[in-house]
Amino acid sequence: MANIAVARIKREFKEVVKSEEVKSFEISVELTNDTYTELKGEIAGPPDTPYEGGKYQLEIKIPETYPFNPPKVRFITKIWHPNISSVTGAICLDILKDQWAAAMTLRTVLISLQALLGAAEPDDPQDAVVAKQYKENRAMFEKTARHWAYAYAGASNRDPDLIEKLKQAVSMGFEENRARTALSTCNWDVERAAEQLLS
Amino acid sequence: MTSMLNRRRTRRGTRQARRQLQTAEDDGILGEERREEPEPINLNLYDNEGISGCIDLTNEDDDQDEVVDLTVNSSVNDSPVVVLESQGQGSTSRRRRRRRPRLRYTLNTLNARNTEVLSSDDEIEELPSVSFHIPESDPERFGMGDAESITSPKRSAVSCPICMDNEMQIKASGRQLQSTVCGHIFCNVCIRCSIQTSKKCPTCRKKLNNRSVHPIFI
Ligand SMILES: [Zn+2]
Ligand SMILES: [Zn+2]
Repeated sequence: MANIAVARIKREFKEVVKSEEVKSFEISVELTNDTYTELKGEIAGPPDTPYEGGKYQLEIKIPETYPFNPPKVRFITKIWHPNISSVTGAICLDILKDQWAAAMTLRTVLISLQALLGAAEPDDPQDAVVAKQYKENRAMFEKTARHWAYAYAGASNRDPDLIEKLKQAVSMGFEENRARTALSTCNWDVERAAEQLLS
Repeated sequence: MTSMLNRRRTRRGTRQARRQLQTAEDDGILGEERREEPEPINLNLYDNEGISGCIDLTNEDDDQDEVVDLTVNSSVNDSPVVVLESQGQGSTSRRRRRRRPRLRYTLNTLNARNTEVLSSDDEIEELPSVSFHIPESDPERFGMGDAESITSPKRSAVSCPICMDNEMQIKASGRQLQSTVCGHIFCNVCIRCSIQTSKKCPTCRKKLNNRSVHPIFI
């Protein structure tokens, strides 16, 4: 990889490690290979959001042309959020696209992603299904997002009602993750979810 | 210049800071519409000049070269950074504006306390006299517990926020500090690469071209 990209990542790595946010367990970043082209980030779900108590892992790929082009970031941990794909973890956030600026760092990216969890923008969605639910049935959205945080991100807030519905779908022979996605998409209507899974 | 800045700071600081953020966003949106494929960056520039590659960043001793991050560090609180707005930009683009989750912790927000803004409407002549006051190291500024800072006082350094080299490292490798018209400082190599790639200021996203930068002597 180009000299400047490696040098920048090495220095940023030190910056993140020393930052206040790391000390308070808000964000963290670790290397996943020794060529500094791939890192793994983690952000804590912000308080007073459905993601509270969850830990979200991120895949961070550093392009050759970094920092003149943004890092490629994706959620590894599955999440229910209008601006993040519930299937691939792809993120819709301006600073990771056209609003990137070379003076930004891994630290500012992670802090911005954490802020995104607390302030969705459903009018420019990455996941249209989630965004529709967010706009039309906010309570259902929050319940679902909280359930996903419990199921995938280690949050402790479990909703017995949703877990019961998930068990019903699983007992019909559907795989748990597929069943959870179908139920989430159908506002937790078991019959409709089953239809969707069979179609 | 400094005293005049101070006077204006109180009178128009807040409003202008807000306008600056807005202008930066509007510029960004214009930029999106006209976005060109980034030209390839000549990364050999770095190799030829031997920067970065020879610095062993894993060595703990390099703390003496500690980079002062201008975007967050409070040690440069007193440096007025002058941002000149050009008029009329962005107003035509509002109709085409797309909504997209916006950066909530932009460098500008992180930096808001450190940024002074002037409007260009009546002060364009004063552009070349941008001046920086870098506070000398002063043990009084550091907390009691920060023994290292007191025993080894060092001059606050300016650094390039792109390669993160400080003034000394930049000069030692034959590069120079340059300032953009919006008052942001980089090394000449990084700002050149950056303008080739995005035509925007890497710190505030103001539109720039190759003539929007000039050397700066601190
Ligand atoms: Zn530089
Ligand atoms: Zn600028």
